[in-house]
Amino acid sequence: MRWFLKWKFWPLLMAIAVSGCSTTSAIKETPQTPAMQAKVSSNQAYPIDVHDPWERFNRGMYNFNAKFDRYLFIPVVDTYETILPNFVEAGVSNFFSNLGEISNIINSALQLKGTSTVVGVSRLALNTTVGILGLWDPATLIGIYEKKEDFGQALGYWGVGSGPYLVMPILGPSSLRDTAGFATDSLVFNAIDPLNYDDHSNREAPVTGLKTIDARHNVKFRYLQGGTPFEYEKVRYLYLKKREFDILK
Amino acid sequence: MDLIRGLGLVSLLLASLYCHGIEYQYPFDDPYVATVVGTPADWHVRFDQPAPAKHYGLPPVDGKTIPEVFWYQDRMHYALAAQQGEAPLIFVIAGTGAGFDSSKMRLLMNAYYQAGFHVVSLSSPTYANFIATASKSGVPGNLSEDADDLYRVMGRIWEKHRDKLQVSGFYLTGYSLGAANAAFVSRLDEQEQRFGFRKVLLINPPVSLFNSVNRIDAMLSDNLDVNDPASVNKFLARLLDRVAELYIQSERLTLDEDTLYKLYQHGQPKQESLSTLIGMSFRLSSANMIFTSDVMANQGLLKPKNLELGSADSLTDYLKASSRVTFIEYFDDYFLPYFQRQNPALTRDELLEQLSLRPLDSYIRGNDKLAMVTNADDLILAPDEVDYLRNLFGAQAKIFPNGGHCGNLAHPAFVSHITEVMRP
Repeated sequence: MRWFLKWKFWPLLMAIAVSGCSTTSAIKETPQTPAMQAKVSSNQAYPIDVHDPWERFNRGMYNFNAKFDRYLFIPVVDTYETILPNFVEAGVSNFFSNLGEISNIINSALQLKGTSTVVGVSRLALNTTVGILGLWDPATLIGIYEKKEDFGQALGYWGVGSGPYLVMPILGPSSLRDTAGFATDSLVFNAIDPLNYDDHSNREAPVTGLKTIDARHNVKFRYLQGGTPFEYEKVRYLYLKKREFDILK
Repeated sequence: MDLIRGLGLVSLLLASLYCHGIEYQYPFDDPYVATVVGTPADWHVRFDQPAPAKHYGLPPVDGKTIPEVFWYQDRMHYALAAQQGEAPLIFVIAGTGAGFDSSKMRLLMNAYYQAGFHVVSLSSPTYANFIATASKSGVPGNLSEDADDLYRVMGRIWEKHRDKLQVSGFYLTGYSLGAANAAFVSRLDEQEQRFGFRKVLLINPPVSLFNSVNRIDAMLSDNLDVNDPASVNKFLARLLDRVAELYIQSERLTLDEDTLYKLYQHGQPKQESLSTLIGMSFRLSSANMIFTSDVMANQGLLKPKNLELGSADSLTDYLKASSRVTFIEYFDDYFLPYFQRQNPALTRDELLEQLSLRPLDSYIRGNDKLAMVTNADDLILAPDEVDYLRNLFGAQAKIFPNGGHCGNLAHPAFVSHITEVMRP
């Protein structure tokens, strides 16, 4: 994921995302405040209210992600799914999921979760050997299921609140805490360097590309399919709730 | 002798089972449970393979400009699963607030595809995408105008695919509100003669939209004070606690059709909670509809009239406001005034009458073309409405003893019935 953090076009993309999609409201005639709006009181807490001080930026980014998905990401993923047989796709997913055990182990340990740490170590050991470098997942077959842990969860476990909601480019819904967690996990991964990028820097781009496609391939969600005008609110709510549960788990 | 008589009885029994198609054993006698949980995996119909559905989009209907806040609503979406070679074609219309690709619609698509039909899945005219791209007025719920919009869409879809499809005849169905839509489209087709539908099936239809929606609305307002965010908060928190417990306890929780069933088994919710849940889910879906309509028709119910929202403007307050609008308020403050502006002589009662199957009574009665299937305990029907439907459709009516509102849609006996009715 190093390219992701270093990629020089990010500032440009962000600028497009924010300027291109966030034209301010133009008022042609004087709008009248409808009676219905008066029903919403500002001094009560609604379930849908969350700390989202960067909402305008976030909505711009959300729209950008939706367009990126529609015009580039999903067509690429569709091609990937058409070309490769399912067992190869599964192998790719297993491979990256196995690499993800490193982060699971470290972050389980940081939360003093003994069982999860042991599960992570067993899965990594079994799947890397019997599972042929992680291409196959015998651990799940014998009932040792993955316990996903990341640094954002570890921070949450030690009492760090989620902070403002934040929509990351391409990766989508996050929070300040979880973005920091994601960055840290990436740095740690690079420091451990399990794929030995240091000696084989030409591996990094294709592997990261494949990892990104595999990640999208595993998420069924499609942006803005047209069923609700309130998708941004609903996704925001569900993301933050799910993270609360993840931290409790 | 006894043995022979016994054997005779058994074979009679078997024969009667055979005649009834598949035996109907649906697990929930409580219509609230049925409506929420649906058909759990152990009772669920199985298809040989999923229908090869392809998604398509049509440009918005003539003269419609899509406002920036709905920039993504640039196509009217639908799905088509085509058979190889000649086959009958069926249009399927979704229920209130549901899209062409909802789980019930996918089920119906698979059922009819497996039965040998080309299948076209259409969103409900109350679905945001349909309101934004295919509704002439932008104000959904008027059954004859919705039929005009649907009929236009169906014509455009047929034009687009007719060169590649060999069609032996046209069929039409819909569930819930989509069933009422189907009946109105069928009558429109008698005048327009474009498709000449061979058979039209109404699945779990309402009799009066107003009564049905009020019944669902009451499920929310009887149990919860929607105007008090704290009480909504409390309910949501309780619900999410159950979800969280299940999520935290289980080794692996995959979200699938059976998640609700697992949740139901885990939480053992009271009927009151299920009822609230149905009301809340309906309210959220009607909030989508009301806000979309208000923006498209610029009626100034929620969004200040003439204010143009941008794609990055916050809609959170509109979500809060629109999820508080009761159906009565929508009807009296929005729907009725809109149609009275076009026709000042229109009374409230006349409009109410139009929003029901009753104007079609003489068209449906004794007409073998139209059939109806529902459940005796359908939550959107009052007992006298079930009787009315039984009487209206006569021999073309089939009423299952339980299943709530569309809860048994995926039961093999139900699927077998709705496909048998359509046999060419």
